[in-house]
Amino acid sequence: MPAGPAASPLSTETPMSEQTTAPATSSATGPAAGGAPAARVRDIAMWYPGGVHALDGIDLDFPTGKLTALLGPSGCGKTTLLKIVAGLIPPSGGTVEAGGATVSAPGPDRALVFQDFALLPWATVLDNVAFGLRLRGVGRAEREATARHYIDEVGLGGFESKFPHQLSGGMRQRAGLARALAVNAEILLMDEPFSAVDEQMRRKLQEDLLSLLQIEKKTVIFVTHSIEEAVYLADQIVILSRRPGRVSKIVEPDLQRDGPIENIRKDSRYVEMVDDIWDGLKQFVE
Amino acid sequence: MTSAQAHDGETASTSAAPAAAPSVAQPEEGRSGVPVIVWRLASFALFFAVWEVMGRIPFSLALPPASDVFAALAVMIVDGELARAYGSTVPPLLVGVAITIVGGVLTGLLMGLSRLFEWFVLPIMVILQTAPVAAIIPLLTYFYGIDARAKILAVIILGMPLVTLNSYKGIRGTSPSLLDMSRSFLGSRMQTVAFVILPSASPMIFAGLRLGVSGAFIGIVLAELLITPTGIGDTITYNRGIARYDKMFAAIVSIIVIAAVTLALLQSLERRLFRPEQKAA
Repeated sequence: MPAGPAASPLSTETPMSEQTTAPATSSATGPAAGGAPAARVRDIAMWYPGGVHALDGIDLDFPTGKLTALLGPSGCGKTTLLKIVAGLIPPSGGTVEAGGATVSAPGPDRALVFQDFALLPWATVLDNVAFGLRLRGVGRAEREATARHYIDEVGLGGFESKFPHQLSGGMRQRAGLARALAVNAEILLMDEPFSAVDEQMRRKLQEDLLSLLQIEKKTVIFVTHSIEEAVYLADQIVILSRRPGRVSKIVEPDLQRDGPIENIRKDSRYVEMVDDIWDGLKQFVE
Repeated sequence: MTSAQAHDGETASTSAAPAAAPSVAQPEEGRSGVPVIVWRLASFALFFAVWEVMGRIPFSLALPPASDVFAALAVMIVDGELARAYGSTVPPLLVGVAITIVGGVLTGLLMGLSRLFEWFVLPIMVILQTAPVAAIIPLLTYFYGIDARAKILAVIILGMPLVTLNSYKGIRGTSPSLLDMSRSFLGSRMQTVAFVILPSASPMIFAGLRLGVSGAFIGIVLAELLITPTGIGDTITYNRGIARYDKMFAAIVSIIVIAAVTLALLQSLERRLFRPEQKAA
């Protein structure tokens, strides 16, 4: 486990302006070579009532503008860690920092994308995407204009007045993604966002997410149980061990990401990396 | 990413392009292609046909044919007998229903949102819901005599536990993921209640209201049969006493019609207020 570089926690840089999209070159420089991480967790531990020890001693940096995948066997506490970063559940021990400030509750700098989409079934796509802005007191005209922009950006244009039950799973998650983008948070927290859609749709959504991130430049924390998904999407993969979840290994897929997105899966290092990670993960799977 | 990209390979469950919405105004159809309304009317027709046959056999003197009952109903409407009876039934019913709805929903809300309130009120509601109320209602006379207050109380006792318990269950049934969503997007407690919890619970709340209103009708009739011989309950008792069974059944039919219409109005109110997606195909 690499020790995080001693960057100042009070960095004032704006994550949006950072464009260090050069492919991660060597692991020697460490994940946060581009500057202070957008978020970091220190010594996070989690015990659930009843004595379940979910997480133990988690130290992680989430580099600005990069996608970090949290990968691990089911029940390793990946989603718990994500919800702790989101500020939805307080950790039993340790601290979370985002944008240099300590996190104890949800904040405007972080937006969640949910595994089950978490769309309001009685609201249209437009109202769902605008929901975060509505909670912030943004006026109707302004929030709907913003929502329409992101609905177009995620490829849902024309479906503004549809209800969630009229959409396929993939389209629902596009709406969930648009809602998270609409509040313009620096950090996107994605909890197994594509696990509830079929295989072909998942590949399409993964590709679209990568092209979207080239425009939007977010720091992403992405929970997944799929090795292929992690290698394909992530700049940094954090492998968690079985309960209690500990950081078992951090790898940085050294893939060509500046070319056309379709090329990533053809990269021979993609296949090697998937095999490597599987070798490391096997021990945790019964 | 363009919208065209999203469409290929991704088919909405409706498979309807958003621009070319198909005519939604088609009547509801059952599996066989026959409109649902035909089946419903057939159900009524069968019921009244069996009734008519039984009445004509005759099965019992106390069961006049359906046609006689509807004739009596027409007479009672024309000569004002029904209007007079409902004149003393409807005001306490309305007051009771208003208290049942407002009090029941509020109690259910508080129970759903506060553990302390839940522990305090839930046992009372369960007792009220399971108690043999028909045996208790005559006792109301000891408190209020044959006052309208006795009727109102009977309506509340029969209606409110249903409204409260359903509202409470609806609120407790809100998806945890929607609650997380609202909190993570910085919704305050009040916003979460107004924008997430209430709309999510509204089907259960309205199911409770329908049950509660049915209970209220039972309550008012029980009160009029058992305590205060006035109103439509008295019409039933009186006509039974003088063996005018056609008029007795006509009074009962009138209650059923009024209750059914009230419930249908409630349902359309719910769809209009909270659940627009149920109107979309």
